[in-house]
Amino acid sequence: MAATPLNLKVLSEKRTPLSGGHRLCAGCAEAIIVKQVLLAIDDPVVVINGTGCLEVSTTIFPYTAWRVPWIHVAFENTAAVAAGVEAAYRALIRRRAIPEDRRVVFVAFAGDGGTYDIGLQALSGALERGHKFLYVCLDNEGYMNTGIQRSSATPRGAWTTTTPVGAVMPGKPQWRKDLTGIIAAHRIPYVAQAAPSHWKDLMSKVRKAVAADGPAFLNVLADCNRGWRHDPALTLEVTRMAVETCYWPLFEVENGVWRLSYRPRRKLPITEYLKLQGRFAHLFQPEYQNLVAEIQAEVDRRWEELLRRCGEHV
Amino acid sequence: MQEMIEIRWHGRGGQGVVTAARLLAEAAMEAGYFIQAFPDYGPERSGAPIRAYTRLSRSPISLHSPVKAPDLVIVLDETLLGDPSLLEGLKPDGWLIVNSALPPEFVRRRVGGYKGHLALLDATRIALEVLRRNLPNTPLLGALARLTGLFSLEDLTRHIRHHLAAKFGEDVVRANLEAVRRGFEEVRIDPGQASPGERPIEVPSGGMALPWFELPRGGLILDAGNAIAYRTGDWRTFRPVVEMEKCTHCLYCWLYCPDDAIRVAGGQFLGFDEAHCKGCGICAAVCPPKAIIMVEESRVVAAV
Repeated sequence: MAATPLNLKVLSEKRTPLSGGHRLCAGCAEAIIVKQVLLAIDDPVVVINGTGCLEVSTTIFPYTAWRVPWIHVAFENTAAVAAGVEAAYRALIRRRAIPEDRRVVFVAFAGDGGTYDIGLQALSGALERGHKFLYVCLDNEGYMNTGIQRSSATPRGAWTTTTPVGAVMPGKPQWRKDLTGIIAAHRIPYVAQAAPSHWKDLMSKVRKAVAADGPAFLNVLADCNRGWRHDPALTLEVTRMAVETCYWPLFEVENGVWRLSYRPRRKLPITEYLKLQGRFAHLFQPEYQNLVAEIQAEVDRRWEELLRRCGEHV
Repeated sequence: MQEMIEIRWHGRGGQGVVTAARLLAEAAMEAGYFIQAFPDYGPERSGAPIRAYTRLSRSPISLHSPVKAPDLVIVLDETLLGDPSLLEGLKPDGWLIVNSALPPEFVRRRVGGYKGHLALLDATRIALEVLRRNLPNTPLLGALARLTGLFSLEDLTRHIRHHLAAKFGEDVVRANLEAVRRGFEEVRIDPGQASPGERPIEVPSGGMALPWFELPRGGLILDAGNAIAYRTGDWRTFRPVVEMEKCTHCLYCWLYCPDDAIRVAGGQFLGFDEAHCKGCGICAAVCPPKAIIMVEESRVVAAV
């Protein structure tokens, strides 16, 4: 059967995976990403969901917004449970309890807290063992579920409740962790970075990921208007700016080959991204000018490193 | 003042319910009261119903439970008026204070024929005008000072300035104090209509939805997608309105709606699912021909 074309008129005929009536914040990018990821997959899906906003807000008893089989697991073991579910599926096929040609896709969703920090060990293990599943990190750059604390995905200079702005520190002092790079170092079949503002790119990557023969990982920038401090209507605009400033480059690593998915026609200065968000508002005061320059230099450095890896001209 | 005043705040996440409960307590502390302020909410998000409590007392407070018999019930969002537990335990001579532009008879009807003391303030209007955001909390503090006589406007302004100045710039502080002043001046008071001895309202006591032994094993939810029965439409401050002549049926609104609240059939945009739209405004922001605009919810409701 041919895959559903990535055309909105056709896709809108499909049943949406997440119903209305969930209790994520107005304008939350996570619901948008889940919709794009799951609509890209035509086969039956089982979702494994680590603790976080998505899990908490979509399944408040006795309600669930999920229209697909769904299991909740703790922060630290999303990938371990995904591995277990996938192993059980293979065991059932071996035992002929389900037919061999019954394709089922396993998709794990967890946030950056559950992926960059708490669940990294379980994820690394599951990737190394080679379980066939797609792990989607909804990277909103902080512990938003518990009230906007910093994570290792929070960018340098960002305000959070645990990296307040003041005389002691200018927001988070450290640079963010390059998780996509860490996952790529596992040499799994498919690793990519995506953003919901570039939906076709995201959905194409999901298709490559689930077609891969082994584990696949997708790191998706998930705007959090409460934590990033901006009008909920700007969710897609802020996300797009992350891509256009090369703060959040779109790329993929397919069987070890690095490929750039999108190169902005004109790389915008990082301030175009920062100025949309209250968590960076302090950076526009004169005393933080040097920090902005440092952030720009780091974005440039990482971008050029990526270009070289992808064999693009720098 | 009596020995202790207990206040229960009802609002939605993001409206400043918790801040209001705390600001009032902090202002009262400066005026020499013993205080408590704390929120009470589930695993819900910006826009979901939450409660907060404030206790003010002349002597140390040993009670640490949620407020069960409030002297004041303050409602920051009139869409909560239908909540059957809203007036639970409200003392017969207590006050219900509602952020609403509606006439008092209308509000009384919406809370099941309430006959007690009522005060109304269009705090959302004041907040949108003065603070440029729907933060009805500080105007309501002004109204509360007027009603209870706990503080003079000058004292309240001084205490609030003290606490806000530690966190915010002068512009924000000044706007909030203006909001307090307008709340103090614009509150509409509608005294109780209950005859002496009559209870202002009969509040049904809530019971548990399901006893534990009837829950599905493992807490499973077997009815996939049943959240559709849960309305999140009343979280809105703004609602999308479409000009159909401009719509090109590109369906970006459908793609980017986080709440599955765009109705589409046969590849054609049909309209909005008002039961679930939270009014985030993404559809209007991503609409290429700008066919969708966001309109203040209260205006739409008033026009109907």
